[in-house]
Amino acid sequence: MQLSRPMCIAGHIVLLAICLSILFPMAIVLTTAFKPMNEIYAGGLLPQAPTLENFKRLFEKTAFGWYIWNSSGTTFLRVIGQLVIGVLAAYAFARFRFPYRDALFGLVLGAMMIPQVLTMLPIYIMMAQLGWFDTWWALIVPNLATPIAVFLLRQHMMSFPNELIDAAQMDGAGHWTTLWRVIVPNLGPALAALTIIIFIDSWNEYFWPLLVTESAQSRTIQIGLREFLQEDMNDYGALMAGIIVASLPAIAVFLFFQRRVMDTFVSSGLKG
Amino acid sequence: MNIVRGAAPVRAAPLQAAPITKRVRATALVPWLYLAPTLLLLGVFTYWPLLQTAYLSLIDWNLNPSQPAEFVGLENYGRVTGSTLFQAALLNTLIYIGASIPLKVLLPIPVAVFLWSMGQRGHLYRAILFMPTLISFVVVGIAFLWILNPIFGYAKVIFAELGLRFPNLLADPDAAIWVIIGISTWKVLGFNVLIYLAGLASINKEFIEAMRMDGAGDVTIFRRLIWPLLTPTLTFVAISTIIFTMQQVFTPIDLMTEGGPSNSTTNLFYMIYQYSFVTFDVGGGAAGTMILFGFLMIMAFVQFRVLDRRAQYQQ
Amino acid sequence: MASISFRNINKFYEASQAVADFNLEIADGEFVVLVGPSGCGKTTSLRMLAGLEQPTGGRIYLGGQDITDVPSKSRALAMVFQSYALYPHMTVAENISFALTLQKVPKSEIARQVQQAAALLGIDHLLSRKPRALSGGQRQRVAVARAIIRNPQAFLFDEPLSNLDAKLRHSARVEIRKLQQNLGTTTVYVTHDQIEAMTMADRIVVMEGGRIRQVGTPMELYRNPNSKFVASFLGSPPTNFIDGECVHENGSARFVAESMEIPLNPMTASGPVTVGIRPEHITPVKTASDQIRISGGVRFVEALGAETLVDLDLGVAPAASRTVTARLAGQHNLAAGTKLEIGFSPRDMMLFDAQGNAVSGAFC
Repeated sequence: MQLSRPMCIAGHIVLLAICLSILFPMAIVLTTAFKPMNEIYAGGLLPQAPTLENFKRLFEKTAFGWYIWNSSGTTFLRVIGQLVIGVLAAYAFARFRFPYRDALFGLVLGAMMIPQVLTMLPIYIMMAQLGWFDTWWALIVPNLATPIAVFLLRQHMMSFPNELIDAAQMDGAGHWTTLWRVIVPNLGPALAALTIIIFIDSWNEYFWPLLVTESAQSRTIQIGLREFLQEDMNDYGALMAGIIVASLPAIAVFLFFQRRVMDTFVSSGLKG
Repeated sequence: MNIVRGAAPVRAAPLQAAPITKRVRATALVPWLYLAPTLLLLGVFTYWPLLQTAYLSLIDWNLNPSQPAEFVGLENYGRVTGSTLFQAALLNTLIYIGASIPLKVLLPIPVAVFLWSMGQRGHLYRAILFMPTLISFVVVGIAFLWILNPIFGYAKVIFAELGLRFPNLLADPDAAIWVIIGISTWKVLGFNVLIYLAGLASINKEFIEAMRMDGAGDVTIFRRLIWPLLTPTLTFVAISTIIFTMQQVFTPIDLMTEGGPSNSTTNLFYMIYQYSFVTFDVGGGAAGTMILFGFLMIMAFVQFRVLDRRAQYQQ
Repeated sequence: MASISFRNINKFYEASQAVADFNLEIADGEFVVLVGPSGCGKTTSLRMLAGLEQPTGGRIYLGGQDITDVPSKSRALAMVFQSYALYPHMTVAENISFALTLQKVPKSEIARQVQQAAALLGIDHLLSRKPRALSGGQRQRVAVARAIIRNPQAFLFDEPLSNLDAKLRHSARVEIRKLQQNLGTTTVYVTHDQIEAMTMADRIVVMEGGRIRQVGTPMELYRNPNSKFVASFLGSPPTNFIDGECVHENGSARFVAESMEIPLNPMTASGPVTVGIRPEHITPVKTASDQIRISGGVRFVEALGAETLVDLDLGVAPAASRTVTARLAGQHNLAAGTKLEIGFSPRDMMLFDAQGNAVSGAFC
């Protein structure tokens, strides 16, 4: 549609203002991270003598290597686990008839509406009883069921051509083989989208790891940054370096799969 | 005669009755095996804890396993609702939601319409608007702590350029909550713009051309065509934004103010955290959780009623 | 290879009956075509044989053994689907060999068999392609190769040619039939196309409304359809029907439709009847002395080159059945509105009673 000219100019001004206000803090973070200590507190915009010393100090002062390891490891296992478990449940809902199917599907969707805060206390106590504090178990296991994955994959499986499934049966494949060798290889786009969603969700998770990680070696990046912030309130150079490292995977994903990432998030309506 | 190649041999007719029933029963079990992990996990980590929270809200306990839990009935509810912390948290929750509607739900609409009218040319805008979605709230919170730092922050530099004194916003009970609101708006505004954009994409542009031919201006087109067709998207954005606001704001509160100063930024979620994990008052935390649960139910109900009726009326 | 038999098969979907009282014996090595309009139950019957649907009642036997409760993956039947159902993520070779891979056949043996099947169908140069890079005809061949590599008890075809254009369809018909004859594998073939049925089948099963209407060789069904439905379904253009009445007088019987009269066998019951005559049995020149001659006005001419289809208004019957189509060999210069005399022999005519059932021996 063509807006009238003054409206069009006003639109550009509003959009530019919003985009600048989004980019400005990012620019500050980026420039601060590469400034030497004396420049950080001097207030200039661009680093006069760019340096990596903030990054060096970040790794010296904190167990950042551990944080990266924990975040990467738990995120990797969560992506795999959540996808596999989601695929299995979606297959049952999409391809089998059994009693209470629709009611159970409603129950799975209903879980999407229950925020974590409503269930954290009993789960926290459960983790204590299992002795799972400071372990990857506590970070991974309570998150393994993914209603959104069940929902999206079920949609895709229901629209999967019936004749292909019949053909697999005729070729001697049982339901298990049909799922993994015929259906799943053709769910690429849906699985990619879910991978991105779960990845970002897990990598950026804050509240739950805050509760169940206490020792430095067990923290994820987000919690490690929080601890660093509280212990070393004024080393903003290293903090900025830390948040750049923490944001790198998300930014990399965004740069490589920009279109798909945006479509994925917008169509699923998930807020980061 | 072997009629089946490379597979289980087929039994002769008389022998079949027993194996068949067995096979049928096994097939009936199959979907349940596929479902088992999800149902088990949701049961253990979602539905059962929901019930258990209700039970915990009736006891007095401090998370210490050696300390016996004492059943106190509804006492926790009275104690929590009577506390100044709860009153502040409830009030702040309402402020957070109230401020979210114009900032995060309504403001993105004109922005989305502008962007939509640009067509493909707005791609760079869209990419920039999307970026805050992927960045974690921890990162956003720390970045803004630095920018708003009362001594060295960039905001101070800019204020100084303008000849103004920069206040310590986060230490000011009247201002701190607006900092949190501002930051959460920064994080979610662009995303909501993109959701509206997806809603707008389903509007047939021929309608607009037809209205133009009939002599309608921008304002008329917006009021008569775009707004009504956008109402379902608006419902979705409003619900998801309010849930987002109640939950995700936890992170900047925890990082930047820890609920203070003098409880001016805490919300119901953060209050539950304070009860449960700062003072280890399990009963209080659980009672707060149940109250939040009720609050969320009421919010959802009101939204569905109000927005649904609107949406139906518009159609 | 194996014989197949359906015994008293019934299939219900909720309340509606898709297949009713289906009984059929198929001999080892036979090529049987199930044909009928859409919704007649032919595909459902095939899918029950494949094990993709469970019959509501009745038993199915393969090679003399009851397979009704055997899962389809253990039935050792191969099926070619209407959409070909090639796995999109696998290459042609992987598609063809999927069944053997699942049976854990050694790799070298699989490669040998894939090569053999591909050579048989002339697709050996396509083995490393993905299905989406193939034309419709190539996909169809891959689907057939996938079926034959398993050396199954029987081939099942579900409208395998309906996605091909007319020219390819002709060559594919011939090829499938030749292949089946060479392999000698029992084949059940479902189609709604009567030309496929006529040209390929050892025996045709005509179905309608979930029931078998008639079973027989193509020529039996062509010559002696047991009902108006079968007569009209097989043959193109379809059989002409002229409604009239069987009248008895002085111990002889006649078919009467206004001015048209044809002598009938005196055993024929009186009452409303219908005469059927195939377009190709109508000739403009008198070829035999016992021909029934009649003239009508030309209404429409379709010149196909090798033959000419002429719609004639005979003006002898109720409006609905007074137009007959004649299929005349060669080219005829006929304008609409001109008069044309045609004739047909009683030997070629069919008579049906009021219920649409054939009356045999009605013409002497």
